[in-house]
Amino acid sequence: MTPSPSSIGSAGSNVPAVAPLGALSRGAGAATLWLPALCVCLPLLIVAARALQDPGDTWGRIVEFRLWDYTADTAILVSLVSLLAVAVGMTCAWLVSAYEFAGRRTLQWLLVLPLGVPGFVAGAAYLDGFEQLAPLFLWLRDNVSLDAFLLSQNLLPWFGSVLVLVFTLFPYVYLSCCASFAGQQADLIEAARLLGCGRRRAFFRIVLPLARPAVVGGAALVAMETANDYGVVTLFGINTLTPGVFRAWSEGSIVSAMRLALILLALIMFVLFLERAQRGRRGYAGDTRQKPLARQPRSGMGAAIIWLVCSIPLVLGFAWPVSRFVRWAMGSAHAANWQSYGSALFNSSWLALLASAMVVASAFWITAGRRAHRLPGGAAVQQLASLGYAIPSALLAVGIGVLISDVSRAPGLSWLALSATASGLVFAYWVRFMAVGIQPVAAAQTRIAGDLHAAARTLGHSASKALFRVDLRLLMPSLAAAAILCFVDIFKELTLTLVMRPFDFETLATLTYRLSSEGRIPEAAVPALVLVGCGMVGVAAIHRMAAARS
Amino acid sequence: MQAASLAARCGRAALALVAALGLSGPALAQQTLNIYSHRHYGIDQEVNALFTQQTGIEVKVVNADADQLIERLKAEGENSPADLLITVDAGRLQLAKEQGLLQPLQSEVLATATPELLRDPEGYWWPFTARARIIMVSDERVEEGAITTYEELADERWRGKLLIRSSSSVYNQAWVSSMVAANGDEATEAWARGVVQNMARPPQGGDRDQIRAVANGLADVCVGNAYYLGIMLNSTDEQDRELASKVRLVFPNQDGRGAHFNVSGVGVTRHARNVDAARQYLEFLVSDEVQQMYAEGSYEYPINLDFTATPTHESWGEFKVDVQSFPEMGDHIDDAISIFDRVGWQ
Repeated sequence: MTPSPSSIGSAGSNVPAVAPLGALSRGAGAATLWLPALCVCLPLLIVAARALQDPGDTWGRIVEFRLWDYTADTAILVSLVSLLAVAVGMTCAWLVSAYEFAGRRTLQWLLVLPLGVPGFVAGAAYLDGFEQLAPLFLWLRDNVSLDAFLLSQNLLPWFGSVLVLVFTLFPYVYLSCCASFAGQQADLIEAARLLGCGRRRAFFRIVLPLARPAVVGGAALVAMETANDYGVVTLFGINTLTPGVFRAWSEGSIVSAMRLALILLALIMFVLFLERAQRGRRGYAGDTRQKPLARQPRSGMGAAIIWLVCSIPLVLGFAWPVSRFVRWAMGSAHAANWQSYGSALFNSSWLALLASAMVVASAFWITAGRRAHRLPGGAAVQQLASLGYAIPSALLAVGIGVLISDVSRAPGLSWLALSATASGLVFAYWVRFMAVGIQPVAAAQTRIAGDLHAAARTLGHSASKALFRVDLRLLMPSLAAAAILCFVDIFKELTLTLVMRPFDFETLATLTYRLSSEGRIPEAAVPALVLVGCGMVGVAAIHRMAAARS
Repeated sequence: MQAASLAARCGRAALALVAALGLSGPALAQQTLNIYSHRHYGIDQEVNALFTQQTGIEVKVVNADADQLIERLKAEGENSPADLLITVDAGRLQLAKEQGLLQPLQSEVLATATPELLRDPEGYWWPFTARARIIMVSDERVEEGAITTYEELADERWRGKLLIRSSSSVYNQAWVSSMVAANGDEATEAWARGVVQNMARPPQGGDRDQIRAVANGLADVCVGNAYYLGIMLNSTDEQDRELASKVRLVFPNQDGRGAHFNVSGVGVTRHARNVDAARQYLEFLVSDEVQQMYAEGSYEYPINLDFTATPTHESWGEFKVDVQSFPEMGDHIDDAISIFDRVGWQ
């Protein structure tokens, strides 16, 4: 789904031949356009340059004792989680898209709910739940063998982290598959059926190949989220590269941390390469006369089975962990520290508000402003600015951390070291979540804004006036959606916040994580539930956007 | 020149903004004591409130890991707002002293209240609570005397029955560092290898999680700071109290060097602006009243090593403390971290 080239920006035949901006302000405009894109690349460049420096003894030790484990664990975890998330997400999407049954629409949006539960929140609930399995493991030790017991203990963290990540991330695959199934032409399937192809065969031969870009796109998101995860893996004690970067950093070897971050980046690039490669040069555009998939009616037993199958991920990824926290919250009023919850809520809120406002403003300028003022840079700026989402959080954190400490060494700037960590964090959010803001705005822009903007210009409005009076109003719903998505993502962000936050500064995410990892889960219940509640707002926004699209 | 003054102006503006947001910023009031602290217990807030009540001096605390705080003190240099550095490990204070971040403070009150063997001879830092990192066993499954030393944790008989938290914990680093001080690098590496082989599961969670898992029967033996058991035994949570009652403390190496002991300590920073208030605060911390508050609030040992501070402490009894390796602990942190890597202690 690449945006079609702009009808205004390219030819200009239907736009009055007025220079939109003077030469100077045009330069300034271009600078403001390229600035966000370059800012996204800055941490990457810093890390690439500094990683070449002498790493000291630590690097040798890391290579000898930790690197293999870090890389293997990351690769195994990412593959397992992506594959299983595809299986779960695709199955659910197919069931709610291909069959008509009582409560289908309800189930369709219920299945997005797990996306609103931060992984580390679900992880804490499962970690505690596993304690109750002790009798089972003891039975293994007493009746099978000590080795079987030890094996079970070594596998349990893997089981736990895969379970948590799969059932909180599968909606990425589910959502993209639903969109893809909704857009498929029923005639193709019907033609296959008429030619003697069975339903099952039609699914594997027609539906699945057509949905492949959607499946792989969703899986790539799951893979990136997994590779970036810090909370779940550290709760369960899995040694992937992301916690490895932070450990090397805390041991004082910044160069080693940067090298590990680059290896992580290489892994993520490999995932993105696979995603691109499978798409290849194949075109998936079909006939424009769409006829939606006719849903097969199912009632009674059939409907019950569909509900049963789909409620498994719903229970594991949402209902069970959230109900645990609700119970803790109700039973732990005495342990609650309302003052610290309040200040964490305040911090999460202003950080997320500030950063998402910055993201949305940049997204508007990069998509609509660029075209209105016909600024140089073209789609390259948009793509570059969206790159932040592919850069590992660990790399961003190390890169921006070093940037701040370098700048603060300049004369007169030492105050930066003391106070800039909050601004560094906002900067990191801005870089990382720019893509989340750009995507919905760019999609809406290609759909609606073009012609009306041109009409406004023809009627004599200046570019700026048309931009604010036409584009801004038309794009308002998608800007609002972008703002909500960013706000929710930043509100529950853990990895960057945990390492980059100022001293003595908790957000709801860091507070929940810290209390859970110190074994003080009941105290973490209230902040965890506030996080889930905010996640639900994001889920509602996603749902509305999906509904508007269909 | 111009650039520098512009930068300075921006700097001042940003500082004002940051101060307005309440993120940090130097103390503006005269009688304010700024503390950088690695402690994370609820009782600290009560202690500070009492100090303000008694003296009128306001206490502001910045919480973070000791390593981060030391880095911050270094970066801030003489602009640092901090008057005091508090850590949960003598090794880190020693490090801060060696890096020139602290200044000596002499006080009769402190010298009388704290044991000579657990403090800095030059007064660069002073201890105010003590903690023992010891062995805890299942009361039901491990008979008296089955394990009596740290060294025995590597015995094959505990294979699949031992739990310890991750090597990234400051407590484990200090403890294994004291093992290196006592037994040497090579012997400690061999021992640590045995310990890792005995672990019932890969390290996970904090000290409390190990205690809970032993109580649940997943393992028989774990290592942890004694006060965590004290907190659980006196918890308002009934389940915690029940789990804690199934676990027994073993103070190791009583026929040898004694149980591993560390302190929570405090040093006056080199560029402290409020040395008088700092002295008052330190002397206040070792007063009987505050020592009792700590014993009842966090179940750490009072610094005068009163083993009967609370009924819980009294029930644990007296024990021999390892003061032998104490002064050397800070010197072997790097050796300990390197051993963790070599033996695969995650």
